[in-house]
Amino acid sequence: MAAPVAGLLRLGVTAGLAVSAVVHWQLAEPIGLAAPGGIGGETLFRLQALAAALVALAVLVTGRWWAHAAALLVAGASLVAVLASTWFEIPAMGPVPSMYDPMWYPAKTASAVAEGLTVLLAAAALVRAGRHQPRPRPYAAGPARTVTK
Amino acid sequence: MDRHRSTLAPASLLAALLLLLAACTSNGADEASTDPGAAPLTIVISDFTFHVPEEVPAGATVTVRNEDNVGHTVTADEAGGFDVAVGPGEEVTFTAPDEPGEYPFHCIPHPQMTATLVVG
Repeated sequence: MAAPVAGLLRLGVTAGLAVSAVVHWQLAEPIGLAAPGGIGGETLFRLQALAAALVALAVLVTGRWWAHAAALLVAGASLVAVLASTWFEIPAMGPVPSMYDPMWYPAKTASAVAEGLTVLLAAAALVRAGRHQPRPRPYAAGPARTVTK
Repeated sequence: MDRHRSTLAPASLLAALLLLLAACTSNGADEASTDPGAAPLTIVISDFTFHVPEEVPAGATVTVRNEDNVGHTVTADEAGGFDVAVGPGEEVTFTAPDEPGEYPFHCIPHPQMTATLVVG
């Protein structure tokens, strides 16, 4: 029972990151027009797409806890960024251009939903990994010892 | 007789000048009210909304002024139509189509921003 659940979580995290990677790569060029300042929105979106793709591969191939932790980090950061840039008009900060976009459209919504699910599934996988860690063996009890003076 | 002629000449000159002045003033007023070039041919973008003039002449130079803090585009829905990118706080121009008609357009990075350019 444990193996199928772990496998489903692993596949779910991989799929969520894959959706995020594809959407970010596809939107990179248009975002470059909307956020041309600093290092450019296009560069940021392509970096996010590459990070999501690499971590998705790591989760799929290894299934290790650190891969799921990276998935949680990458998807969580992307989710926070999309929500913040939708709800708040954050000005440019250093090389990061202002990327305010109050509108929702299908690709953006799909990416945000995928990232939210990835966060949940990766967190669940980490909790499971914590529970299934091999526990240290209890101290072997020997025969009762008496202290003699 | 000579005296009469000498007073008539300046009066005629003054009358001619007044007529010329009146004609110039009249022509200038007509031009200001009918010259389509005087109409503001500017698409203003603010708060993620296109504010488009009612109509622009065919082949006119249209200005796009972006008052938002992010970049936008004015891109004709029809392939091969007008397509300009305008950065935050910038102004650009493009040439309106030569054929009169209605030209729907959108913003590439913000697909929900749409409007129609009417070319007369």
